[in-house]
Amino acid sequence: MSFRFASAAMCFAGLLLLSLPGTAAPIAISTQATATLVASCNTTFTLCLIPENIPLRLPFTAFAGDVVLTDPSSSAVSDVFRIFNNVVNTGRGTGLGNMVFLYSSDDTTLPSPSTYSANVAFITEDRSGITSFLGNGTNYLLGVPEPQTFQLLSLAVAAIAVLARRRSRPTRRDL
Amino acid sequence: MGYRHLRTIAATALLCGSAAFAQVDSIDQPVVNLASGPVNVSATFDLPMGTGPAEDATLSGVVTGLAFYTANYSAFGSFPLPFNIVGADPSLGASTTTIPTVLVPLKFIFPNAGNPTLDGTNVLAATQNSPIFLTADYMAGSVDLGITQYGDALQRGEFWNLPGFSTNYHVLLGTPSVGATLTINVPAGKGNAFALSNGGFMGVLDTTYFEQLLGTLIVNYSPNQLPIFTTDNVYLGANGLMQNCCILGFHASQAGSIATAKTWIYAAYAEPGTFSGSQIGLSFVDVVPLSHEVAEWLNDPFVGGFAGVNWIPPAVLPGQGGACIPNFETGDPLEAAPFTFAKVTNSTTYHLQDEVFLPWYLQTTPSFSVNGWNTFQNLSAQVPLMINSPASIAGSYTNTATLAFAPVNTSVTSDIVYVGRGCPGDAYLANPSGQIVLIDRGTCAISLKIDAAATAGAIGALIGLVAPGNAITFTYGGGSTFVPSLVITQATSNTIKNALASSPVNGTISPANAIPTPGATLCGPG
Repeated sequence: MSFRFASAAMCFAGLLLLSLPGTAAPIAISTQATATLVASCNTTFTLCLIPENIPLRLPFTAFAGDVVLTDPSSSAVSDVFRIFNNVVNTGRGTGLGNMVFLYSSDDTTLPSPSTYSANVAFITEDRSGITSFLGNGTNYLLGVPEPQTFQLLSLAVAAIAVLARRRSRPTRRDL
Repeated sequence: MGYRHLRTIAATALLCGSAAFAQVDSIDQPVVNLASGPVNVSATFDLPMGTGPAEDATLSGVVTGLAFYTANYSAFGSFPLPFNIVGADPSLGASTTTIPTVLVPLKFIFPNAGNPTLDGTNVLAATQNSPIFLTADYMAGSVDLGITQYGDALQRGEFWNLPGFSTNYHVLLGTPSVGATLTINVPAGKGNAFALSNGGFMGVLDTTYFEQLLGTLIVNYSPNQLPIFTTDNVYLGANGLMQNCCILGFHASQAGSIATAKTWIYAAYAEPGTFSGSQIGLSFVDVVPLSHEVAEWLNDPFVGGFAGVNWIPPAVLPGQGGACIPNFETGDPLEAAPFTFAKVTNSTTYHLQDEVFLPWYLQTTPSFSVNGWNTFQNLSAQVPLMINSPASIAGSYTNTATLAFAPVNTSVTSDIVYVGRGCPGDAYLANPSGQIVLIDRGTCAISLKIDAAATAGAIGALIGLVAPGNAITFTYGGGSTFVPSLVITQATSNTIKNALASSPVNGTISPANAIPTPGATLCGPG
């Protein structure tokens, strides 16, 4: 994904993430996985946040299929959002499922086009790095920072706040 | 497994069917002002799947289950999907399955002022004498599917070209026994009756209340039986409110083992004058709701438990705002607006819904259904007008629309004559006898124009639009004598009129030329 870290805060969080182990290959998703993280969705499931490269379980059953994101400049495929048909498999990637994964060309090998679902949808990635995909009543925000990023960002913001506060606090020498 | 999203999907689908009904006034609460005119409602069918009550513990494994077969049919040409369908496997040749059927009339006494009553007993005879139980001749183009019941003709058409299919294959509903009328005093808040402008009433019951009511009644029936709970113009909607109306019927089953699960149908008998405003056909009237449910029950009887559901590649329901469906419901794709056709049994004209065949969902190529059609009566197919001569305008004119009350169910070829406006009483500009007539749209109902022309001897009719735009269909507005008819664009009409100035124009309207309804559009992810 090319437009991910637009803001300074996001850039800072990104720098922090460099110390985290990366993922170089497509992640095999177990359809029987039970310990998978649950996607963050609102209570009515009209909005779900989908970070990259994390196997997630939706808190509802959705229509399976692939959403292919293309780079707005080059039209190259940059990401693939896959809703697996792990609940009901009706062939060629269709059916019902609740396991999802957002593959990003930055960090993983993208699924081969030959594996795209029969109902594949193509959309252009938003330049902000966070792309909205409206599918059957749910707005999936694709490419939001992953949960660890939020935590690290929170820690960083807190640290900055503490440092700033200490710097602004009058010192003995100032007295 | 969380079913919430599927519920939402189903609800979305439900809310997108459209119909309006005529001149409704409330008796008590809620207030609907008659002077405000017709009330728009969302008319639809079915409940969320996978929500059936548990099987009777004492019956499991010790009773005869519903007569059905399980077979794989391939999606996308190669991916086998299992289906549970009522009857015997049609690939195994001749067989006749007869399902014992019970009609159960429900009588509702509503809590509104005067306690209006709607008694399903009043529509028992009409239901028993309908094509659901009595026989009529069903054609699919030039193929005679036989003189039989509606559901049997549907199933025969669906599997007509399946290897191993026999023309002696049948799935029939037994002559229905009639259960005792069940009288229900509707509690306040669980339903309302509404006065219609034609002097009749309609009722709206709370959906959950009604579901639970049927859940208590099905203990009286066996898994091998089909109980049909019949109401007279009583529909469903949350809290019994008009603004939540109208579910016109549903089919359901118990959860658990499909070998012993009970199945049942609720269908309202739709009194004439209740619904109007559909774009196609005669809207929801008489046994259209029951035909919808019988067809769906035959093809997907075990919707009460996920294990028994007949899954298909999720498909978009045409005309329903992009709503999708994940299971094999034959009627839902053709319910908005309803594609209906008429059959006469017991000297009475009844109305039935067209249904999609399984290959429509599975994208089966070639289709194993009759004529390769995607629907039972091919009503949503496009029938072109073929101009045979003069050579200067000969060809296929595909921007046409069909009329449900005057379907192109037989082929007609003749010279085309322009007769003018063609309302009853109008003088014709040419003799219509033995000809295909070209009539201008306007002033009176299209159906009255065709009725008048047919009565005068026309063998086919073309309704020419009088303004630019695509061909559109029209609702029934009276008349009883019809011939195969098409609506054509103003441009096509003008082409014919201009040619007629210098030479005869010969044309053909034929179901053989129909462009089949395209297969289902896959539902997108999400």
